[in-house]
Amino acid sequence: MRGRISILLVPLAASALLPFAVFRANRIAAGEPRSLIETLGTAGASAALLALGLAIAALMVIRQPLWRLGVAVPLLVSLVLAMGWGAARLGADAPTAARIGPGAGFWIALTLAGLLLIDALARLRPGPAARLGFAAGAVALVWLLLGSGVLAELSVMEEYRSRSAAFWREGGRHLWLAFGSFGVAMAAGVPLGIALARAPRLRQPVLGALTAVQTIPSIALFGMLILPLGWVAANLPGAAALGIRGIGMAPAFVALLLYSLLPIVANTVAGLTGVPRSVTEAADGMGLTRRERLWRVDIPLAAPVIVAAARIVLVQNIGMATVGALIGAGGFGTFVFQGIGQTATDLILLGALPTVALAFVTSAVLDAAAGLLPGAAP
Amino acid sequence: MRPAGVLRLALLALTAAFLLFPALFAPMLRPLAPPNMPVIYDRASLSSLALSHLALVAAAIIPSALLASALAILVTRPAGAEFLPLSRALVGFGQTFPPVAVLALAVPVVGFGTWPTLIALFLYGLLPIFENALAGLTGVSGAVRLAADGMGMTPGQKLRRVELPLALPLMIEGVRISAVIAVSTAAIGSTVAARSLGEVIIAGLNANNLSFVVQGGLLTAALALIVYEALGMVAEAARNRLGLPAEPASRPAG
Amino acid sequence: MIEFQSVSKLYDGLAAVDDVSLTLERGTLTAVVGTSGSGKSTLLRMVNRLVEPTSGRVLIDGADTASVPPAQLRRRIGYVIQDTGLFPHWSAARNIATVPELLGWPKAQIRARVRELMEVLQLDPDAIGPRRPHELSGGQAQRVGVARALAARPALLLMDEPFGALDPVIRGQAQADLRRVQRQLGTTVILVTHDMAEAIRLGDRIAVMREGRIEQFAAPAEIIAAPATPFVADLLGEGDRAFRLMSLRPAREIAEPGAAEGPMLPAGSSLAEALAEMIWTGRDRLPIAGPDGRAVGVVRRDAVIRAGRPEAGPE
Ligand SMILES: Nc1ncnc2c1ncn2[C@@H]1O[C@H](COP(=O)(O)OP(=O)(O)O)[C@@H](O)[C@H]1O
Ligand SMILES: [Mg+2]
Repeated sequence: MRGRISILLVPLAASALLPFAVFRANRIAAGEPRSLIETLGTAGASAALLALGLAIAALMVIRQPLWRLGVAVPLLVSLVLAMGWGAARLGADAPTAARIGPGAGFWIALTLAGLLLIDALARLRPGPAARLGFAAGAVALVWLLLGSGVLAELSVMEEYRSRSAAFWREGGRHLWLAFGSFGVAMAAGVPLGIALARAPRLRQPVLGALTAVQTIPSIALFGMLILPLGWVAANLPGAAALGIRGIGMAPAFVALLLYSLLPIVANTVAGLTGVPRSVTEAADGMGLTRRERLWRVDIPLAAPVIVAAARIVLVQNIGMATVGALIGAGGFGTFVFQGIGQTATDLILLGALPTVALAFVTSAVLDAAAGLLPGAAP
Repeated sequence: MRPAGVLRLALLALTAAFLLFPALFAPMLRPLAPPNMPVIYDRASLSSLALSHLALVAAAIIPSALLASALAILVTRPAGAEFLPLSRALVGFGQTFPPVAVLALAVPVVGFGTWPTLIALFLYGLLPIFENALAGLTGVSGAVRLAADGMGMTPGQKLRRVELPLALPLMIEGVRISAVIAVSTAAIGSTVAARSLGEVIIAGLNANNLSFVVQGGLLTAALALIVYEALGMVAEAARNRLGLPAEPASRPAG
Repeated sequence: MIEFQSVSKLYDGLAAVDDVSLTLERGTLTAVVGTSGSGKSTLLRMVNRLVEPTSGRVLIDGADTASVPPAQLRRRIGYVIQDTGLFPHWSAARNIATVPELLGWPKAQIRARVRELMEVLQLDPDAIGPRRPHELSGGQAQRVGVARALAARPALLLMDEPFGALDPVIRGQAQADLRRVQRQLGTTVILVTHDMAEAIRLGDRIAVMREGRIEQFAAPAEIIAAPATPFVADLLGEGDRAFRLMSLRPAREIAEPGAAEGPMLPAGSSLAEALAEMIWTGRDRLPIAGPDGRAVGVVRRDAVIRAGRPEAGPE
């Protein structure tokens, strides 16, 4: 039965026939395809094909996940490097306004190499510490690739250079929106969860209301919050001085905070009520007070479930903060929606790629962190 | 009737009233609109926007549900078992992908209008349904599987008579999650010119007309809640029909 | 007749069942007993091809099971497992109807058969039939599982620790029911258990398994009288099992009309006390008292010994 996964190698091989790069006369012009040979030159393309062929052959025979990983990672890195070199080569004899970006062939090859990598990782079943190591390694690798300048000629990087100050400013706002609202939600949600764990009768109505809030589409909640926050800004002395306004950061922050509450509260309740009866009884039997039991027994045992909620909330916030740009909250969404408005693919990517990367890394780190907690299921 | 039932009916009645006779609500919204600006959105009727919003969701989620269920069935058969670890990992990765990013990345590929929204809703809808179908199909107890084999069911009979019915409530739950996300993403789709209630909100934001923002926001929220409640009732009905015990009240997310 | 011919099953090179050859007669109940992991379930599942032998053959009435498509083979063989494996989305009645439905019996015939079986197993068809598995007690669920296995009148019934999840009182009842039904229908039964007492109580013959091999295959009396290996002896457990069993049953249950010499056995005496009294006073008939202290009958020694054997249920 083994070996069926090799089916993924077919489109990987076929991707070499598709345009590797896209050439555009300027940043919003229509793209023209460039084949692998056109992009890398005869010598470069031959080398690339040879490397691809070797990788495919290796993946066909090797079964050991660790070794497969050892093939997939270099394959991915060399794909990205080849794209960078190709962009530099095509850009060398093109006008300055011209843009070179990845083509369908590159994206397909990247996706498939990624799938093979994920498959190998999934089969390795690394422990939390190893996963943390992988995440750190991946971040370091990306940092290295971006910092080294090999990708400098790629259109997204050109887009970045022309607005690097805005990029970091919006990035900062994005983080503040996503993590700041998360912090407040934790500070409010965990105590609320503890209270609800002790008051079963209030549980259903409160969780029901929070579920209803989560159901409300982000754009609707962002929009509707303009009204109460505008009122607060106008009528509460000092509120405006604190930066509270009807539009901008404040409604986005509050909306993300409201969305964050359900997972945190629900998982706190589930974590605390899930502590085995025998354990709580033993704790009571040893004479722990309610407060001592909460801090020494209940919360440590519920911690993995609460950290799982933190992961969900942060990933959700990082994605949803993008929508905040529509009400002037800033963040990476600014580039996404500007890019949509200008049909500038590179600008969209400049907003979307860091958002996705941020969500990936946050998720991986918190997932591993949950596994490292003493109360985690093995 | 239980209070939840009364609330549901009231929500439905209010939404229908607003969609069909928006003028009735104009006096309440008047203070929010700048002077000399329309109070009720007038570039399209709210009811037609709501309908095309729902149509967009349905057109994306139905194929999404079919494909995701088929994939889940495939990777839980012996022939597809090799793809199970990859599928599980992909579900985890995919969920970190914001729906807006899917929408934004579809625009360069297919242009403006309904298509990028449909594609984004379809792709993003796959994940929750696939994940829940996978949970449902792999959650059938070993004893039940063994009994089905031992009674002499063929693999097809086992799937149709035992595994699918038992997985159905969870699969519907997945469709419910997907549909609610789709209502939300379809609203954002109006930034790329999809016809949905999001159009009203965005027009309000552009024209600084809070009345538009609030009516669009309320209607979109109502639509999402109605879809959520309706599919919840479908899941409940399926569970009742199959005679399965109700879902536990609080289940940790994650 | 079931024949295992040099049957082995390897998992990752390790033998779960190791070169087993056995012949089981038609209409008998064979108990396969052994510790957990000794290969009992694997052996059993090779009969209905839930597990395919690595080598060797299993024949039913002379025909190689490997020549029959698995689904078809299994519909002719009843199968009961410990966790019942009842389909949770079907009523008890529909569960029982599973195999007849697969075989395409007419609806009316299926209904009649379900009623009949439920009555045989003392399940009220109108009260229990429409219930879902989660609304059944452990004992009821277990009986529904047995009824489901018997629905298409299989000549062979495979049972894998069918009573393992039941409490002792219900288990005793279920064992007695199985014995009754098996005699009544003449079904050939292979019963897997880790409980030697259950094997002795139910089996016409007992196969003792250890590490994939058969240590002894014999009638219960022979196993008790002459355990072939120390392992079999170990499995039989403490030597006073019979006395413990006898001390639980009142002697009055086996009293017969008549009179006897000597001091009277008190009303509440157990079989063990009766036997001790016989040995002590050298008598083989004792008068036994009723609740009011007057003699109500006699207890005979051979009746005491017969009643002390584990396969005897309450008369
Ligand atoms: N599907 C399987 N894969 C690998 N090993 C198995 C499998 N089924 C059973 N085994 C192994 O075979 C041995 C016998 O198992 P089993 O027949 O279930 O024992 P029993 O029913 O006597 O407890 C055990 O060591 C068990 O781990
Ligand atoms: Mg077993």
